[in-house]
Amino acid sequence: MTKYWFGFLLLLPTIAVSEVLKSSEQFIAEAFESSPKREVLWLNQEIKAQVRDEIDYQLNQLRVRYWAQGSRTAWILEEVGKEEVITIGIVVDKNKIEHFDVLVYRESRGGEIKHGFFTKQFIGAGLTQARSKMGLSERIDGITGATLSVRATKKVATLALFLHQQTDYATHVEKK
Amino acid sequence: MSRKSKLRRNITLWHKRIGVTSAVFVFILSATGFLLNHTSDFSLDSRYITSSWLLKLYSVKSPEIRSYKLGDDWISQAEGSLFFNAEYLSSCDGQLMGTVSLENYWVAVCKKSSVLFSFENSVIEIIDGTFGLPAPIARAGLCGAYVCVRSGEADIRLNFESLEWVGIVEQAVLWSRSERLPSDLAAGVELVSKSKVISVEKLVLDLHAGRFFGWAGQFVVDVMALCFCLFAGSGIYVWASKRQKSKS
Repeated sequence: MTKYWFGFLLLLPTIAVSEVLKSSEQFIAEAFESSPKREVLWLNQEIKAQVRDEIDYQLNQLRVRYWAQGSRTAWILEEVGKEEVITIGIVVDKNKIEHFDVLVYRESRGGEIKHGFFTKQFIGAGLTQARSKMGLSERIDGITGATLSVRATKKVATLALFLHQQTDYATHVEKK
Repeated sequence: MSRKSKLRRNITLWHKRIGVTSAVFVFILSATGFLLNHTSDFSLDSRYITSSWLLKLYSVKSPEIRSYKLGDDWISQAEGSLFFNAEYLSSCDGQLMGTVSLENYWVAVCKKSSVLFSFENSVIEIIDGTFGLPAPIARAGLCGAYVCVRSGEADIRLNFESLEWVGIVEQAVLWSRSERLPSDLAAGVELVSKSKVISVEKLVLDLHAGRFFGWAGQFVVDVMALCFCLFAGSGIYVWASKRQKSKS
């Protein structure tokens, strides 16, 4: 009997399970003190081309939803890790990442990226440009065995910062 | 000739024979192994086999096609992919439950997500559980200027602009009904759908493991594995005996 249990335990890491870590409603509720505005960012060809060439991310849709208040915007974006889509929630304030959360993780391996020791590295990161590619101003340490998931999170974080810059909220000035 | 030198001669002969026989397999295994080690670099996992004879060899079954009429055109779903007539559009989460044309766009409603398309068939956005879309959706139809769906026992009006989902009680809904896709379009959808099933990575992996040629291929690869061991063993023996001979 023990050997069957051992076999089952060996199989466990290969079974892909969709793990909802936080609902989008909960993420938005935590990100803003009061109810934020629901906004839509229309993606023109120029934005799409820039995202494709400088972030290596394919924006296939014509518009992206986001939530905003003051100088802060919240984005729920997705990217494929190795085989499955990872859903990530990001709050950007004054062109820096204020909050980073993995909302749904569907891959069978690389789940370490959902933990605080990894996600907190993104806090305070801004957008940088080097050799015609956009990237993060902060260094993000990789995780052995989760290379593609880590790459996906960095890409999505960069995208959120770039999309934030395309909104009016990026230049928002607090009224005194 | 001593018994020892006879044995060495025989082993040397078999070493050569095994070496020549397994050379082709060494090349195949090395090449496929190299490709498998660089799956992402060569995008082998995102490229698919389109060759009809290879798909036939893999016994790829014809997909189940579910279709709805949208004006004079057909919207179909096969293996999770949406098609406009026989042209691939996008993926959709869950079975296609209906299509509805609104003033500024049209919507493909699936069990767990709705895809908004422009009239040029570009994806405007995908609305799913992330935005609180009710699921699973059992039916979809047109109610006034909105899309209405049935989820569980409730009929719900979907406002994709404000992302508000409101229960309705007494509003007539023109429910979408699935229809049989004309055979020429079905053949086109089937062809496109089938060519998204077997990735190049799977083909390379099957060549590497011999599975591509069925049980016989696997058997040959097993025999070759044994040959490699014998090759290495006989090589070491020949080298050691030559060394010993030169010393004495």
